[in-house]
Amino acid sequence: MTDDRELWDRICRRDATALEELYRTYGAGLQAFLRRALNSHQAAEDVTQETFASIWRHPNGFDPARGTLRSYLFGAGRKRAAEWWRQQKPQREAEAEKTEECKAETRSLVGDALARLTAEQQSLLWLREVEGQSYTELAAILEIPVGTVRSRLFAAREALRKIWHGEGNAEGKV
Amino acid sequence: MNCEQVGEYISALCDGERIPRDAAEHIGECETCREQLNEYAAIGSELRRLASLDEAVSVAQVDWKLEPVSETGWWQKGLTTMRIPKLAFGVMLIAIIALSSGLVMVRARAGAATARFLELEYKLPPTGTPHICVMRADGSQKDNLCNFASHGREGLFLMNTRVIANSGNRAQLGIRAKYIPGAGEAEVNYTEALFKDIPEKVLSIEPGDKQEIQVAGLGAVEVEGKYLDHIPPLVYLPQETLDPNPKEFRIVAPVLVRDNEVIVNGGVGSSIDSGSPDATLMLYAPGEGRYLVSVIPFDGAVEGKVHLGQITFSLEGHEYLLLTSMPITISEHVWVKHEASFKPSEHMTRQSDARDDQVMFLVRSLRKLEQEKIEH
Repeated sequence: MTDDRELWDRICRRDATALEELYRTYGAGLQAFLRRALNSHQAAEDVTQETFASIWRHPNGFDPARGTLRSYLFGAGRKRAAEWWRQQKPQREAEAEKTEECKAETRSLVGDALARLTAEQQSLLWLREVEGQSYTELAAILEIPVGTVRSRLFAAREALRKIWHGEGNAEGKV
Repeated sequence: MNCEQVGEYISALCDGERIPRDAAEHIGECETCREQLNEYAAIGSELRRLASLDEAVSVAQVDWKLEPVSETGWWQKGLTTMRIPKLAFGVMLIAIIALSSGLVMVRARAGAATARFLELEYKLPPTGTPHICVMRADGSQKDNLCNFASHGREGLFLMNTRVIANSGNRAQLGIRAKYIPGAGEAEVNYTEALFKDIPEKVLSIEPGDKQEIQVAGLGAVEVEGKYLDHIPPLVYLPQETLDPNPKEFRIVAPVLVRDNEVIVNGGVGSSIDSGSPDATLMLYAPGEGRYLVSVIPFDGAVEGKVHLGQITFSLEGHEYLLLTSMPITISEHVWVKHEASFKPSEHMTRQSDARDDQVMFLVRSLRKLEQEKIEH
C-alpha cells in the first residue's frame, strides 16, 4: 500500500488512479462495515460510493498527523451512515423488516446477535474484529478517547456474548 | 483481582493489548475468565467468517475519471453546516453579547466626546490681569454663556460672552464688553439686563489665536481660547482640581441646613482662599445674620467636623449641615460662630456687598472679617 500522505496528495491533485487504488484497497471492507451499520446491501453500496465520491469531489479533511487514511475513510463512511439513518427516520417502521431480510441473507447466529447490539457497539466490534483497526484508529473513527475504546469494546463483547447465550438484549439502535 | 475487575482486561487481551501483571495472573488461574477469553476469541472468529461471506459480494466498479469534480465556491462553503460543541457555542454567545455591549459603550463615549468646552482667557490692560471663562461650545444652547465683572481700582469692567456657532475648531463668539470708569465699588447685579444696552461684537477664534477687542475707556482686551474635553470643577478657575490643596479653603455653591431645613442657599458662586492661615467663610442670610466658619479656633466658636464637601456642627441647640459642591479643605475640623445681629450694611465697605436683603458669602482671613469695617 502506498504511503497515506502520498496517496492523499495524488487524490488532491485529481489523480483518478490514486482514488481507484484507495477504493480497491478499502472499498470492500468499508461496504461490509456499512452493510452491518445500515442493515441493507443496497444502502451500504450507495453509501460506500457516496463516501468515495465525496472524497473525490472535496478532498479535504484528512490530516496524516491525526490518523491513518483508512481510519479517516471509515470515519467518513460512519458519518454518512448516520446521516442515512437520519434521513430514514420516517421509514423506521420498515427498519425491522429490513433487519429480518438481512438476517435471512446472512444466515448466521452471530450475525443475528450482532444486529441486536447498538449501532456503536456493532461498529466497534466489526472494525476491531473484522477490519483489525487499532485502538487509535477506532478512537479517530468514532471520535472518542482511546481509553474509552477499551471499555466500550469490553461492553460490546459482553453484550454480544450474553445475547449469544440468550441471557440478555442490547439497548437497541441509537 | 476478581473476575469482575479483570473483565475489561480479558477483552483487551483478546485485542493483543498489554494488561497488568495481576490481571494476567488471575486470568491464568481462573477457569471462568479463561472461558470468557475463549468465547471472545470465538466471537471474533465468527464475525470474521461472517465478513468473509459478505466480501464474496464484490464492490461495484466505478470509473472515477468520469466522476464530476466540483470546486466548492466560498458562497457554497458558507451555506454548509458545521458542528460546534455546546460549550463553545455558549462562550461564543457570551463573547458576542460582551462585544456588542462594549460597542454600545464605545458609541456612548464617542457621543459624550462630542461635548466640548471652550476656555477663554481675557487679559485686561494695563496689567494684563487674566480672567478665565469656560463655556460649552458644541452647538448646545445650554451653558454656552459666560459673564464676569472685574472690580478694578479705577473702574468696573463687565464682560458677557456667548458662543454663537462653531465649525470644526473655529468658534464664533458674540462679546459684549463695557468699562465704567470710577465705578469700581458699584453694585453689580449679574443679569442679562446689565448687558442689554451694550452692542455685541462678533469675534471668530481658533485655539492658539490671540485676538483683541477694543473696549472704550479701557483699551485692547486680549482674548485667547482653547478647547477642553471636559467641564472643569470651577469654570472661572479651570486649573482648580477637585481635591483642595493643603492651603486652600474653598466654598462653592454653599447650602446651609438647620434641623433638616434649608436656611441659606448661596447660589452657584464660589469663594476661595489659597493661603491665609486663618481662612474663614462669612455666610450671610437675611433674618439669620452671619455665620463665620474658620479653619482656626476663635472666641465664641464651636467645633465642627469636615468631611469632603460637608461641615456638620451643633450650635444653639440646633444641628447644622453646610453643604458645598466641592471638597472644602484638607482639615478635619473647623470652628463656627453665629452672629444673628450682623448686618452687611453696617460693616461692608463695598457697596455691592452692603445689602441686608440678599444672601452673601465670601472667604477671607478671620482677622479681616472681624474688623468693624470689612474691606476686601
